[in-house]
Amino acid sequence: MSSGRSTHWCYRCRQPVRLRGRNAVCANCRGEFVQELEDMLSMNRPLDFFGLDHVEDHDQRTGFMDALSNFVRHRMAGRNNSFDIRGRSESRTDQGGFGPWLIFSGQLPFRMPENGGLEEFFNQALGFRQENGGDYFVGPGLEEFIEQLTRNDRQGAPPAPKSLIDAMPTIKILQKHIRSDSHCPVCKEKFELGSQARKMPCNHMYHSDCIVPWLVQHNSCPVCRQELPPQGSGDGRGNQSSRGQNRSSSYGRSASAREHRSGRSASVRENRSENQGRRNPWSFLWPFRSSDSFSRRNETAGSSSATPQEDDSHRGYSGWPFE
Amino acid sequence: MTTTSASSRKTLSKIACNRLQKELVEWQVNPPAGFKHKVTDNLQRWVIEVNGAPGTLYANEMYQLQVDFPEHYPMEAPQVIFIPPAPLHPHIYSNGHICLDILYDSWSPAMTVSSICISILSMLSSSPAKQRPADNDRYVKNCRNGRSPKETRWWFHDDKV
Repeated sequence: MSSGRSTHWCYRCRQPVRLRGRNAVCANCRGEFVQELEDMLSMNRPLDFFGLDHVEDHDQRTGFMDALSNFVRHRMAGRNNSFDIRGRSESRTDQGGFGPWLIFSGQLPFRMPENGGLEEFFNQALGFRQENGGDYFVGPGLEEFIEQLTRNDRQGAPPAPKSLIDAMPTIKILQKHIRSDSHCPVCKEKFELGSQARKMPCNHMYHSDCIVPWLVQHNSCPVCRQELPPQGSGDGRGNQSSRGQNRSSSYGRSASAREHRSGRSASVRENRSENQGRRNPWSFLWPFRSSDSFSRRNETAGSSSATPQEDDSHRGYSGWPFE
Repeated sequence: MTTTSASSRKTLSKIACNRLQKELVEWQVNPPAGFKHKVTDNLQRWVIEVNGAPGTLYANEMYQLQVDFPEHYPMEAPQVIFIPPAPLHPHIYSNGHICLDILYDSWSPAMTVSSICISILSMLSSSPAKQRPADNDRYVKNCRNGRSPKETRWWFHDDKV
């Protein structure tokens, strides 16, 4: 680890760096997109090292919380039963090999309480230390943290509500069906004349035992990706919104921030509510003015284009074969 | 840290076994062009030879795919990686991980090993340049704990290559 103190933030390396000589370029990557740390702090606005302010989808924010919570639990678990405030220096030695430092903004993804309770928490649980009495933290383990951050905790479409699955019609397989769709697309078995199958609104047919386990996880036709549409204006939506309200009460104002989502948000919330168990370890952290920070996020948009996924444009390939 | 190495994975469910046996038979009757299944007695891990398509950057090159099936295949996607050395491609990392949406978020139980293979060959064939993803080193380093590509939160933007 370098002995000199980092003075700048490199937006390319996404870590605090020293300058190369007297030039305003990063000593690591020689990139010119650097900014003085002092400067960043004095701007008196939420820092956005992880680019979360930019992410439109609030799932990213909750994903961040999941990542953070996993990280914390991992760190704690890693200490076995010797989780101890005074164990910090020891743990830093353990982690010494990781080199990079974690910088953690004091205002992301939520604002720190004035009295510093959360800061204590970060100090003690994670071994981060606070620099300059300012609103950021440094500590070992940036890469671990980023690794957690980029872990996938959601895959594909959200689950279909049970009411919609139950409402999907059951049909009897007739000769005309067999002519068009002779096999169940999931198990690849032939449909037998006279047997029963479930028919999605897109007319794709499946054995009930084949499609239901999928829809329970993902509201998406395996062949064409069409969703089971909400039933009229009644049942489905009503059910969902009442669940949303339950969440509001259990999560305080954080839930209202989610209300800003539109379109598919209802089903996303459905999904989230099933995951409450996983997020519960963080419920004690939630009352920190999420809706307030939401509006701030809009104000500061444009301060940084970094995203945790990094270098997005290079990745990806859409190989969907059924369209 | 949780690692999902294939060895620690649970054995295939009955449904998964049936489906894979069907796929294997179908593969033997009608293998996707350019691919060769290396026969083993392990239904849960397939090793498949990929031959670069003629007239593409990968012509006359041979690579190997390793396909590991989860207990609840096809409700869950298989884990598909190139056994290093992996082809040089903007969406393929040097550790063999492949950034391809259908292997992760866009998986559907209607897909098969065969359809995956065709997608991968198509991805190879449309490559404009033999190069690693820009973030290769960082990503590979992050995977040093044996992280499965399925645990990565992929970000799919590029639908051209």
